[in-house]
Amino acid sequence: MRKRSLSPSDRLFEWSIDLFLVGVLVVTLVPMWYVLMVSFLPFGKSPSLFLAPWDWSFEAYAQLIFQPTIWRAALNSLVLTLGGVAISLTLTVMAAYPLSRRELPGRGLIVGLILFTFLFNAGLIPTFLVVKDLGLLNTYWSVLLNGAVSVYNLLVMKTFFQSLPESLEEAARIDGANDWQVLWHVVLPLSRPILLTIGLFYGVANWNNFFEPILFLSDRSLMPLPVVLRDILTGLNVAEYVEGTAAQAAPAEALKMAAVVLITLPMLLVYPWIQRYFTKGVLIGSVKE
Amino acid sequence: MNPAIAKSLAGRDGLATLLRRIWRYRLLYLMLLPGLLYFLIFRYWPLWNAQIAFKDFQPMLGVWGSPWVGLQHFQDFFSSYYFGQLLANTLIISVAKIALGIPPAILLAIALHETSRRFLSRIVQTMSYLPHFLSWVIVYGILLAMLSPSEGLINHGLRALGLEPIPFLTSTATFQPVVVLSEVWKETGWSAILFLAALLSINPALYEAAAIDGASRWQQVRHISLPGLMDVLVLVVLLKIGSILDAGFHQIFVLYSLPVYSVGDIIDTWVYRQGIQNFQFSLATAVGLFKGLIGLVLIVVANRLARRFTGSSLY
Amino acid sequence: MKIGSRVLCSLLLCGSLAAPGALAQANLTELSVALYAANPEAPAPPANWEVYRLLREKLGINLRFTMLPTGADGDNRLGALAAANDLPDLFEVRSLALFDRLVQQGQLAPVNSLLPQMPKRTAERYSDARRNLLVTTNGQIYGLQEPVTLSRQYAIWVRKDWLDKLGLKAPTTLEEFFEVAKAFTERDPDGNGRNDTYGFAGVIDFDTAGILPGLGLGNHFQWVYGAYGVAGTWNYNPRAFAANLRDPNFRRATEYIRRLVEARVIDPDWATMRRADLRTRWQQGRYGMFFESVGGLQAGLQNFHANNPGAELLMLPPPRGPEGKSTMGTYSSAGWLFAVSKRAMDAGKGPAIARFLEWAHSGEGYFLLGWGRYNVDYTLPNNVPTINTQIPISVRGSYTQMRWLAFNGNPLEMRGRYPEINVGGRRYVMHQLMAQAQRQGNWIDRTGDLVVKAASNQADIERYVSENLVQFALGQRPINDTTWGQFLSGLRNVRFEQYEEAAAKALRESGYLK
Repeated sequence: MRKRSLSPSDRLFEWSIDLFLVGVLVVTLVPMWYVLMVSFLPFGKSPSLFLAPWDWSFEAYAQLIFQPTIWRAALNSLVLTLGGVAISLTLTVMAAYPLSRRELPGRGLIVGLILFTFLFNAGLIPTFLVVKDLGLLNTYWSVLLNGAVSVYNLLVMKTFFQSLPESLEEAARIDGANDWQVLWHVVLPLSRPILLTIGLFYGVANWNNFFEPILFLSDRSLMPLPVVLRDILTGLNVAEYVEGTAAQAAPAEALKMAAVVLITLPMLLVYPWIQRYFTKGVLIGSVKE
Repeated sequence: MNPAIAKSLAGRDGLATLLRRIWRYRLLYLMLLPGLLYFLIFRYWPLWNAQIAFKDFQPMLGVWGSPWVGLQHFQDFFSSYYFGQLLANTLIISVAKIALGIPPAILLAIALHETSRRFLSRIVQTMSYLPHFLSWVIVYGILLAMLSPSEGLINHGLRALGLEPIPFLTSTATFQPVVVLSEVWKETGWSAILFLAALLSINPALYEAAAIDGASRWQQVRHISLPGLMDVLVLVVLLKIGSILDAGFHQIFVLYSLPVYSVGDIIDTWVYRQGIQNFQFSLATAVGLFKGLIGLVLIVVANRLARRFTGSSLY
Repeated sequence: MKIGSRVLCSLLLCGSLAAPGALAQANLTELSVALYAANPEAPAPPANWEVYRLLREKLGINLRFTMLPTGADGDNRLGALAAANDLPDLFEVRSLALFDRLVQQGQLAPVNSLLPQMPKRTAERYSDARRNLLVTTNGQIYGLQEPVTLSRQYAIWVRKDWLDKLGLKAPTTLEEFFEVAKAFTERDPDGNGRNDTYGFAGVIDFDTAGILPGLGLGNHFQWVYGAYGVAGTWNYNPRAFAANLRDPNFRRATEYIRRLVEARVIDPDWATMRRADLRTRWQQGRYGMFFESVGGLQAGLQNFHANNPGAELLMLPPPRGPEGKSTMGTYSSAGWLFAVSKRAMDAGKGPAIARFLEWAHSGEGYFLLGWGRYNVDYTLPNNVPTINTQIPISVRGSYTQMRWLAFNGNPLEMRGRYPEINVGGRRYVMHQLMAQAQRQGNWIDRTGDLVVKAASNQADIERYVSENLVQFALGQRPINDTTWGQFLSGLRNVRFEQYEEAAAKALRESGYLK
């Protein structure tokens, strides 16, 4: 790093920079920490930023975890997330690779057509009518397919493929590999960061998706976790997720926040492993020079 | 030879070459096919259905069979009592998000770039990107924990100081600030990535030369880092202006409530309520089209401007 | 034991009847039915539910049941299905705006032809001409309008133990109500040394289950408007028919609510809380008085007494206003509404629908749909269906998701649904409380409201009124002649006059306004 003899003003500068970063850290973390604390809140206590560990109550988690509805929703979320990532990544890679080949006839036209859908969206109801006409209402396919390809992710991946050294592909082609083999054996192994990053984008989008399930699915038993969370937070059908007749041992706030924690948790477990690829993966594709 | 015949021959020749080229890339086209089908079915077919904006949509008659009504739904929207309010709310929230969202992102990028503590830099990056991945439903839960008048952390603090609690989410005075600041909280880290990248691409020799010339760290930031960010900044601002009518549907959909409709209702939430909750499908589609059209014009213009001023653009 | 034994024998016999029925699989009628979840806390019935088998074997019906989520999500779902021209064959409608729209667009079938095909059900449920009028357009009946079975079950409940502790009497007027609410808020009635109680809580709730929310702040605050003689949307005065909100008393009632808010005796979250929040909080013992249905009370008693040892609840008659008026609110005599899609009728499914509904009306069908599995989910001591509370509602609830098709409100049924409960050393006879709430509430019958069709901009109207009243009540806007005048004159912007005129016309034509 650029470290030389520090003048007093430079030292002040460094201090204020670090102070600012710590401030950002605090502002980011305090709300999340507080959510965690409230989720441990026992009855009759006021929530506070630092709940004594001997006061922690896991009742709210117990209430939620022992509900079959929650588990069903979690399973639905898992299916939608994993299935969604598989479908989306496959479609995106298969579309991005040909479009990254500058010599492909009609490439500009196709990119233009795809870009247009990014800029101009037909809206909710026209899309709903399509899903209905395809007979996909009330099936997972409606949610999985409708948002399968994100134009942004597609373009990022295309730019990434373009940035790969062409010499490797050339070499493979001289050895007699066809386009599929080049993609599979040369391009994809080099694309780990972008695949992980875009995969995370798709995964998170699917995991967080609550709007399309509400719109397309009518069976309660198909609903994923975010819908459950929204219902719990807005007090819509709370009875559905916690036993109404059993003596309720956790305050409502704790239940709500425990639900928030439970739903965020799986993502928090995956995120750090993929986060380090962000800068590598995203930046290459984000701006076209 | 007759020039016309020559031309047509050349054309046939050209066509043949083209077909041959296409045949050569058949595998690539095959690869492209599923993606193209996706866009055709899920993006272009809805555009065809969007004609119900100009029709009185009757489900029994279908999209094609419903009778035309021209621009009636558009007129209904423009003459609606709430039209002015919706447009104002949409623009105010959108502009405030741009104006208050970009400076912290730049600041964060500079701080991450300047700090000599790599561990701090790493951990701040990891943590500040995180909220971007939380859905608005989750952020709503976090906001409830912080802001609820009876249980929220901030109101506990106010009460401890002997002040009156503030109903942040239901007061017309505080709702828009909550919307804007929660967006800033959620997205600052993520938006900083772009600026950070621009900083990393500045030639380190510039800093070294400046340091030798006796420039302080602050002067280096002012005269090297900030100018280095200008291109990206212009690009980001212009592109945000292109999507200025998107004030954040998912966010407001989970945050707003009756007491704050007058300051929180935006075009998209109105479309949702009219279309889905009041079953006025044609009207909702018309407003959606109107919004899409304005957005399209803005983004094309913004992109032109971006290309002119910075040489880089979205597409 | 008559009913019980009949059920029992049919349960036993059906096994032997199964064989011949199974052969007739070929001419099964496919029937899709969508109802709002009767027990949102339980999943849909399992695929091997006995009812499905019985319907196939006995009635030749292959039933496909979809559970709609309660609340706006369910309305939206139906609206979406309607847009897709994909309505179920038989379904429940809760949004009258949607119902009107479906009739208009020709997506519903007239049910006139079904009525004679299910004589018993029609005689007991659909033979009231006045009620049928509510769902009649151009002389055709477009819905199966059930009579109401449990309307007017709402009341204000007060903590008797807190009253005693502070040496107060149950309030009977608005002024006394205010004083008691203030004492409950400020004098630490739960004695925990913390300022964590509120005098009153209600939420903005427009649920239409049996009562009419009216324009404005919804069900939970109707009693305030009632005390000023302006409960409900319309005044039903034949000489000067108008919306109640034009009455000067409407402003006075709103000012009273504002007083409660400003004195901080109402839970400050009231404007955004939902019913479930309200329930959790009164069960936690935070409120001295609260608005709740008898059914809601019943569901929460266990928790309430577990959390608040020694507590006692009292049902409060609606407080009287300055002129001695009082009411808990307005109600209609119309209950659940079921509709048949035109597609189903065109496909010749009418007879199957009638067969199914008649089966659900009494005997075997009634018990299976209404009460679940005999000797598992319920028993029949002294002919009173008695729920087996050993089985959690999340399990037994699955088997009674379609109970609204069966229930008819007979006294035995009411006793079964609202039994005696002994908890926390207190005795609650729920069906008596139900009757008490109906009697004591001075409820006003405004069934006529239902013949008023939704305006084309109904959402704008409702929003305009509610939004303004909330702002007035929350203190975000002062209430004076200028601001109130602005509120009233602003009604023109949402074309309120036309709505009023249409309402007057509809009410006169139907004879509700003479």
